[in-house]
Amino acid sequence: MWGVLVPGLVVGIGTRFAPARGNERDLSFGALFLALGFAAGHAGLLGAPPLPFGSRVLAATDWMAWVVPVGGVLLFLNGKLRAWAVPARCVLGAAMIGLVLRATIEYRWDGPEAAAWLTGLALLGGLVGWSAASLARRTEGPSVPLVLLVASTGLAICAGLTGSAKIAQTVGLVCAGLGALVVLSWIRPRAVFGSSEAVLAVLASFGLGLCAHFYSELPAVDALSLCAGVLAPAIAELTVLQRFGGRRRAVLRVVLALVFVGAAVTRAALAFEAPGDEYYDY
Amino acid sequence: MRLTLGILIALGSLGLLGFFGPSSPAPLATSARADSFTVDPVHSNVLFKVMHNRAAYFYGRFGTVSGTFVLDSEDASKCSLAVEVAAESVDTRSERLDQHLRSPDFFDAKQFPVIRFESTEVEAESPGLYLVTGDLTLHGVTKSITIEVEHIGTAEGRGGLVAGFHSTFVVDRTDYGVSYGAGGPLGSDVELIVSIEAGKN
Repeated sequence: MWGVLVPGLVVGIGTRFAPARGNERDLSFGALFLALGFAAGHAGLLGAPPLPFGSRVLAATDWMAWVVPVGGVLLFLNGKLRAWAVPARCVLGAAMIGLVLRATIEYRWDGPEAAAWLTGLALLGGLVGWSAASLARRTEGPSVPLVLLVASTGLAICAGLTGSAKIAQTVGLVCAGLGALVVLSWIRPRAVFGSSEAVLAVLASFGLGLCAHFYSELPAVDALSLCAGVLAPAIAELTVLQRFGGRRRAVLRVVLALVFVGAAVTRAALAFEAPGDEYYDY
Repeated sequence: MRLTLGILIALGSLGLLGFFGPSSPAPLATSARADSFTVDPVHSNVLFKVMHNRAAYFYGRFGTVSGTFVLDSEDASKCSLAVEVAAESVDTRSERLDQHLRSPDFFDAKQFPVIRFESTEVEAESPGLYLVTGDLTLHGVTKSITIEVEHIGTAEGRGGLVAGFHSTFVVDRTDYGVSYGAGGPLGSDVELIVSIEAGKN
């Protein structure tokens, strides 16, 4: 109930009855309710996250429970920030990467190695976020939230299969919210999903993907394949998909995402089923 | 020649007795001053026991244990101890289960690599038995707990004076943010069994 129903209902009901957005300068209620649904689902499923800067050292997933709601509010207002909109997104992304990778910076990387990794990950995250935002700006209808839903569902499955049910459940909260946005974008193609919603979905999924790779056992090749599930439709949109009409183009976007995400899920499933000891859970 | 051989056998026997022989349970140290000891990582064990499927007890261990003690035979309040366990070294004889236990669902070993207990107060409860209050840090959470520590013995080992201690205590893992499976198939209470052998510095 908390993992799927609550975030789905918060996003579905909230966004359905929120004022429709006419363009990118309007308030992004989809992002706001995506964040609220995530927070409500997280509180119900995994408990309220510990407060930052207290006596307890927060784990990366705890930080994500704060980053997503804060990011949701920021992206809700993004259209009103005008010239500050892009810098605000960059600061949000950089803060997320720094907070999630705190332990890796502290225990594993030295100075130059940390700088190289953080720069590379910031560029990759920025590229994925920019691709999703660009797709969301250029298109209408459910195909872009569906592409992001495919990618985040793939991450949830891969995270679960490679060792962390907690990360899988947390990504599941994003999936439930995106699922509601897919349905709503089908009903109201122009009014629901814009670049702010896309950036928030990428922020949440990318951060949790970092948790799965650096703190659990998600292999780098699968993580990159999941990123390609978002990047490929955006690159194709600017090149090979130009010659296709609206509906066919929308289907091809989702098919491209399915190819890359499916590859990652297949690899994770094969590794999970590989001969080993008999432990599966608990 | 025969005399030399006899002396050698006698000395060897004394050495072997010193190494394998029974140890005396108390006092903590033979001298009045405080002695410092370093945990022997090979002969020390940290095990955990948790209810599984509400039907059985499951045991696991940590392979990497380190730490130091200061022992004062005359004044227990001058004793102190600090023990560290590498979370990554969890061992259950199942590689997949070890991997899951190292993941963010349980110990989150890459983010919280060290489980640490550091004493803040030591009281002598009875001969050979101490009440040790200290900070247990697990999974990024530090809480003060009080445990009973039994001094098993002190004896001459191959490398010098060794002392042995044993403690069994229970922690509620959900207090430390390790909640996966709690209330379901896995118990919240985890019994820790700590057996330490330490060599005098």
